[in-house]
Amino acid sequence: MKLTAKLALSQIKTQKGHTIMTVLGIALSSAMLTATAGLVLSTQRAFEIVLGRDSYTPARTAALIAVGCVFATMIIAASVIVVSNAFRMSASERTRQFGILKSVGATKKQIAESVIYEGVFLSVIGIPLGVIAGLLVELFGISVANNSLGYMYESNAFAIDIRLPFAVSPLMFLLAVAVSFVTVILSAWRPARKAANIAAIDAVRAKGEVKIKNARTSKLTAKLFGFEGALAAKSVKRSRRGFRATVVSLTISIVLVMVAGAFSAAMNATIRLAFPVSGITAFAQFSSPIEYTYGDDSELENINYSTIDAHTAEKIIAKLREYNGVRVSGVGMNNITYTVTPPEEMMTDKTRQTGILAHGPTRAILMMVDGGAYAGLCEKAGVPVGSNILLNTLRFTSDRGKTSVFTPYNFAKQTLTLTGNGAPDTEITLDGVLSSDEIPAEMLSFGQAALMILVPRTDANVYHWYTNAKDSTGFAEYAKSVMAENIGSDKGLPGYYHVSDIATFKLQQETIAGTVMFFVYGFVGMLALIALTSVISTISTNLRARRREFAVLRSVGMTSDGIRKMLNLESVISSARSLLYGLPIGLLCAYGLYSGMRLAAEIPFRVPWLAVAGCVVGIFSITWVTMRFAASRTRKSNLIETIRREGV
Amino acid sequence: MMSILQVKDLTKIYGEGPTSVVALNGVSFRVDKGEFLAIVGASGSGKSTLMHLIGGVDRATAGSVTIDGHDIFKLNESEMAIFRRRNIGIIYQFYNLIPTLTAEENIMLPRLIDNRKPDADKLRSILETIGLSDRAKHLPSELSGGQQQRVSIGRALINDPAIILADEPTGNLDSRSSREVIDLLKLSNKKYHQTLIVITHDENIAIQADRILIISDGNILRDEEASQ
Repeated sequence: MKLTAKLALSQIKTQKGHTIMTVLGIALSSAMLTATAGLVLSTQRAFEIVLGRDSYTPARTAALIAVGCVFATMIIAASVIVVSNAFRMSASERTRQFGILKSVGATKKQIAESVIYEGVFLSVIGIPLGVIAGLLVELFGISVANNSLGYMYESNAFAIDIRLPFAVSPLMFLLAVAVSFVTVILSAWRPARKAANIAAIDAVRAKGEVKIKNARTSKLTAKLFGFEGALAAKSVKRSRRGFRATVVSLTISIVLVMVAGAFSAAMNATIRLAFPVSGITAFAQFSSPIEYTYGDDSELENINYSTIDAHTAEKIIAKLREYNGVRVSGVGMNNITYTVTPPEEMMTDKTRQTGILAHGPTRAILMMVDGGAYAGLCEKAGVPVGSNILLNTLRFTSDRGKTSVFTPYNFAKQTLTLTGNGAPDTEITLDGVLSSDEIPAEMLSFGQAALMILVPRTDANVYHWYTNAKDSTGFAEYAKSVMAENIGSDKGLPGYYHVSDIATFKLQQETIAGTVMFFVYGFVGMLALIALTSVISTISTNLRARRREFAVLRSVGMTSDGIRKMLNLESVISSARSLLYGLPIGLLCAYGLYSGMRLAAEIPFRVPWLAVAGCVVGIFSITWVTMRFAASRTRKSNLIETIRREGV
Repeated sequence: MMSILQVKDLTKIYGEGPTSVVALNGVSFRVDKGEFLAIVGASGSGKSTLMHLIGGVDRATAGSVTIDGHDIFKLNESEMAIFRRRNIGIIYQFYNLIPTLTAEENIMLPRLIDNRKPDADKLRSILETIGLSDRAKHLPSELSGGQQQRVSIGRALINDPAIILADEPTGNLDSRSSREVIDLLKLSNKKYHQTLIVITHDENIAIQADRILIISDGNILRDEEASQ
């Protein structure tokens, strides 16, 4: 074997911990690349099975490959940043060796070669492991995807039964192995060139990369944390390189976790937006056909529509309740018959600012709820049953697309004149008021607009029956038959009906969301793991390189407790620093992601506090545990031996 | 007689401007083939700088170093590396062996780097000379300081270099090992007619040399034949 290869091999053999971590990093990266290639292939096969081969097949395949390339690029970028840390640490450990080699006449090329050989050997172990793991990941991913695809098919959400087959091909293996290998060599490249460029004279003195700067620490540090604290701050400041590797990897993990956290929050918000009324599993709706007739001068002459009265609505409620005695509530509204011009003094400042009521009369929406619910609302408003209650809420979306909910009116007991459209005008007295948060969500599912008044009874052109029945699918079937029996021109109630199985639909949405989240978290989680392998190996290499420093400190009388305290503080400092970089970057990325998703759905931006908290706790514990573990190993070494052996 | 080493107006200045330090101030001398030269000076006198410049691991500010007819500063970096491996043997105070290679492999290092076939006879001869025939397969950590230094002498000898540079070769050894190392260096000087330049502040070594160069503040203070 060539000498350069041999020296690389012995470095790998002697620095076992470092080697294991680097191999793990390489294996994870190649596992991700293999899984990505595998999933692209199996999706392509699935398309071929379902759609057959046609003239669009090449285009579809190209699109899939493009998606795969995007993911692969992310994986390669993260891996190169992270794995190159490992090579940098290893190369700086070998600085002295390189110096000796140079002084006996090794060329730059030979030094670089030796670092690259390390990469080659680590690849030989890491990549096959990674490919096997990648196949397992592919298998697992496919089974998760198929599980939800199967459910979608069975619950009639998808018309076709599409499943992903487990697919492998020689080309895929070749590609995964080649790309993984290129990733490793890319990672080793810069550290190798750096090692080659070290001046022989510096290398022999083993100064190498470590440029010692005079670090000043504030008196406050010393006062707060003692001598050990000042020493910790100094070592972090002085050997920036060693710590920077750790901080970079930790920062990457933080950003990844934050983005995934924000993504999952945004997905959940989107689902909540689609299903604002919680607890409802199904609903049935009656709605009237509306016919407008216009006169010669194209003025509205007549509106023709049908209505459901309180009595019929209650009758249907009773009928629906017969299904296993489930709870059913009803909300109806009439938003056709009357318009109203609210008096100027009734409007709040906010209403005036928006100008929504400035253009003449607005719709007067009369609402009714089932008897039980009405009594409850009267009590809430503090008025006797039989009163008219102002529903004092308005949802307003500005031209810029910003939505706000506010209180539109100053309530006072007063009588308003409602203008009838093709019906006689009428007067209505407002007896009580309910504010936004007092109004049940069901009542607002029609929208929040104009002037809404809850009345004891009215003729509704739209009526909703809600249930929280557990068996939403069964209820929906039953409700359909009830609707069919009662609604229709031949049954004396002309109109349309519609029954919606919300729970199942929601479950379908959540299944899709869950599957997407699984892949997002899986992807991000594995990338974060790659970063962690580097954190562990850089911290432990850094500590090993400082064995002599510890031995000297102990020889001048620093206790083990003192050293431990110093290391604890160092891990706190590097954790805090990575949080300092990672959290703002992560938040920024999360905001970017939210801005993208906002294009599709109106969701509020929330700081992913859970992810933030997870990062803080996770980062501190990881660095602390790693430091302690690495330190406990260095402590075992003999003091005098260490000082002597490393003596330069 | 032809000079194997010719140092001319060699100057080395570290740093720039008002904080610069003149380590060597236009030093010139010659060394003949087979000569044993001791360079003596207090710490900070510039003797290590001189050694690094002759060894080609550092570049001079001005002046030239000619070894065996080659002006080494005219070589580019990889030419220098190849020149060094074939023509200069360096011995350090702290042995500088590669801990993961055996004594034998450390001795062969300049040849291995050169991708040349290990010469078994030469190796055997060197191992005998340095008295480590029975320890050839040991790792540096299994050898005493004196033994490790002998390995590094073996490494310096393996390629029959034009010159051997030794930087405080006994600085880290007890008196018995020191004597052994010096005897070995003298032996190689006599036996292989090896040119030997030893940097030291140990008078016991200096008086054994053919010639002593005393350096102070970057200048040659005295250049005298030893009074043997």
